[in-house]
Amino acid sequence: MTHIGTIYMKKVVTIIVVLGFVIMGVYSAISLQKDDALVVLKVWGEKGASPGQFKYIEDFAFDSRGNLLVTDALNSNVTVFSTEGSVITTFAGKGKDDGHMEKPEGIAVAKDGTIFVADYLSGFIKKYDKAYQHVQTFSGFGEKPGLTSESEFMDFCPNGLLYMAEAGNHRVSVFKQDGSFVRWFGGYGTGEGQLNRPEAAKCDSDGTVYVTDLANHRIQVYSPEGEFVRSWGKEGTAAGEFRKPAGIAIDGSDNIYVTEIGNNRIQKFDKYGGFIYSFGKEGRLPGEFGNLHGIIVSQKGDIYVADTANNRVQKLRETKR
Amino acid sequence: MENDRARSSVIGSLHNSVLINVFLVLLLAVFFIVSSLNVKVHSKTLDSYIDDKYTLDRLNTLITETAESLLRLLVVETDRKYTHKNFLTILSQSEDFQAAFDQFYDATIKRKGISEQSLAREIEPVITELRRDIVKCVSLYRAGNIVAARNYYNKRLYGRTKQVRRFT
Repeated sequence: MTHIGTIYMKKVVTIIVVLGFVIMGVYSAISLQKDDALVVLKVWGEKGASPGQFKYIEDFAFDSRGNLLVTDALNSNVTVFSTEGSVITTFAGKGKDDGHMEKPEGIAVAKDGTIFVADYLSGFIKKYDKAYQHVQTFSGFGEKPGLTSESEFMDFCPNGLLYMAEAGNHRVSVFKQDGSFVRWFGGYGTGEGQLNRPEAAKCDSDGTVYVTDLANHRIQVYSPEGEFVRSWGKEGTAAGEFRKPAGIAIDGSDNIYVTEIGNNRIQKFDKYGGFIYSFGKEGRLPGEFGNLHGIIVSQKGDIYVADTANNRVQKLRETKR
Repeated sequence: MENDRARSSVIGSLHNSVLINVFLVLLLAVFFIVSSLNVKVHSKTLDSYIDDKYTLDRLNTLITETAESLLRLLVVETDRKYTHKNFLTILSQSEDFQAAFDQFYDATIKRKGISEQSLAREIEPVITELRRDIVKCVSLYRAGNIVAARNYYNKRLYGRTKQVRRFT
């Protein structure tokens, strides 16, 4: 009986050891595959209306001093941060004066340091000088060329023109720095060059315009004149696929970074749409995201993302640089 | 001695097959429990999505009906007897927008989807703006400024309605 018991025990131990090895092997394989491309350097912000707190972060721009400008749609303001997350000042905000805003979303800074902020609700685009004082208001709410509906993220291209994505009118509108309207391109549809709720328009060093085509789940690329160049992506969760791409940023080497509302991740591509890496998942921990919106890459290569659902900005850096 | 060895080898083999069977039964039991839990979780998620859809449909219906009533008032009806009743209906319907939206927001909270809650928060000021536009349009009409009310509807309210309906 003792002998039989020993044989029995040996078999049980063997099975447990083999199972243990299998589990460890699977875990190691998953861990090796993970190999995070980004590391979180800093996280700041919480829900609230005081300076440094957020209610709905939208997009970013760097001002002429290298400070980070952050638009908050529900606090109706723009907060100026150091690149380490210290509050410098806020401007715009709720009110009746010309300088105030209702729902600021897109923000861009011209070469001379003038700051342009787009109001999603009123359709106005407001200009502020380097000291964050209001200087001009142009455009307005509507469908006619020159007016905007659901104005989203925008950028100044090397040609000095402002390119703005309009989700409501399914187009990108182009303005001169003085506020005069130049042209629009896009238009509603699913064909090449057509858009369905574009969320962001940003330019690379050549002036090529990259647009997140949110409801078509793809990235579309245009010449500075608005001619369709190429597109990539389709709806999905695999590498190179998108679910509601929102923010877009371009680094000094013309690599493209895209945030996705649906997949809660950042994907990096070369300028032709070649997949490089993806990072992130839904959650509340550092390196996890909820309702991702804007993204920007500093000259140093640090990445700032609007982790909107968590009311915070996350500053990230690539691990292999 | 040889008999003992043969007996233990037979019992060893027997134990081997018994062990495999026990292991398979345990595996099936675990699989069954995990599957049941999985179905339970997914049915809860499905229920919450149905809740979301229902509350969004309600908001959409309210907005559509209000916009239609307003349009009828501005374009077709000129009889003052009817218009007073219509004012009240339009204004009370627009008051219900917020309640309908709150129901939707509560449904997203129940599901604990942080992204959905956040996205829902974004549309709230647009709904507030839509209500404000409706009141402004009705006020212009009541003041006898029908052309201005129609212009306001075309230039602002129509677009605002589309904004909210795209969300729903």
